[in-house]
Amino acid sequence: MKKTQYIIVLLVSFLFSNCDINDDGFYNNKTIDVTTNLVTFSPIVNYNVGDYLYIDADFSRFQAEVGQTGLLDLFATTGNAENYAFSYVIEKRINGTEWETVFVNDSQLQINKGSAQNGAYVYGLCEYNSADQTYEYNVGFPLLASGNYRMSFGYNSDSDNSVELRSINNTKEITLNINSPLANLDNNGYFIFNVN
Amino acid sequence: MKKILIALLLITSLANAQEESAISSKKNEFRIDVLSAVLSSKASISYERFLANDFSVGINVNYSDSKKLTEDFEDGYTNNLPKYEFNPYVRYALSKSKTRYYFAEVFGSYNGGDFKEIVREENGGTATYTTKISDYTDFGAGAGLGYKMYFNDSFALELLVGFGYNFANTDKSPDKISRVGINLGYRF
Repeated sequence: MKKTQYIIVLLVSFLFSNCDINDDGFYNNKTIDVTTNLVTFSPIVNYNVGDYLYIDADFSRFQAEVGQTGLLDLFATTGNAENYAFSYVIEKRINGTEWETVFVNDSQLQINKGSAQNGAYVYGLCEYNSADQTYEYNVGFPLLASGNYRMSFGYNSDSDNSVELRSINNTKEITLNINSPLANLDNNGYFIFNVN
Repeated sequence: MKKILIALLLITSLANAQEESAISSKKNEFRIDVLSAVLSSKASISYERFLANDFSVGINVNYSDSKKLTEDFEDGYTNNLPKYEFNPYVRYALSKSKTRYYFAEVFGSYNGGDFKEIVREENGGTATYTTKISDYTDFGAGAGLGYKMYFNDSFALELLVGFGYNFANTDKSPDKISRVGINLGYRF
């Protein structure tokens, strides 16, 4: 009996000891706030069927960071990240209180700069342009049916006044998360518009 | 038949008594941890000095060069990379037998390694975030339990499980420390 107790204590101790190497987390990760609106869109609230809603980004690799002096080099910090990713969701009102995500094929997106994929949300990638040292994105989302629509940024994001961009780079380099302010959102974090 | 059985039992008892006596007269032991060597690329050597009244004292020295831990450190899954440990310990035998017994242990730890943090560096009007690697050291303490058995009066096999906490520099060092091993040793 005593032997069994010792063995149980040994096994329990072994389970605890498996947590020996510290402090799980992701430490090659830095989150910053910038002062510039890195992602923009037109505040037009009335569209026609067949129009596109364009989301645009064209920002320098050097950005002013909240609370810091000196422009932060987004490119060098991330080991020369070629892309920054962000996401947004476009929904259509289906009754007085409910909205549903609008799905279109990727081929229906009008991709002028950067790249994008559409699913439960639009996954956009701003691409680095070495000629002018900027990250660029310009993608039109097709508005195929009339109705009331809304757009929000950051799938599952709690923020209602900013967009989160994340560098896409080697895991050994620093991954930079940028919170950038957004204009034209209401207090709940939505841009409401109509398609006639 | 009965006489043979009694004779065998007597011989076995005498042999055990002789073995226990032989082991008790040997006061020093060196061990290496084969589990840590195989699984964690850690060199772990221990010395133990046997005292009276079922107590013993010793020290364990570790040096780790694990490829997996180094990769986790570089990829950012941990912010420290433990490299070395000096673990003095005191043990108490929980069983009466000297050849096979459980023991309890308390240990101290002086340990160190690499620590990684992200720092902002300004240079000519622009700035970057970079990772800066520095050394850390810390003190910790913990406790463990183990089982030890001897073969041929001198060769030891020991199973040990213990864990503890660092307490002086946990901003940089691992919060938890452990002593888990399968040791092979020689007592003399």
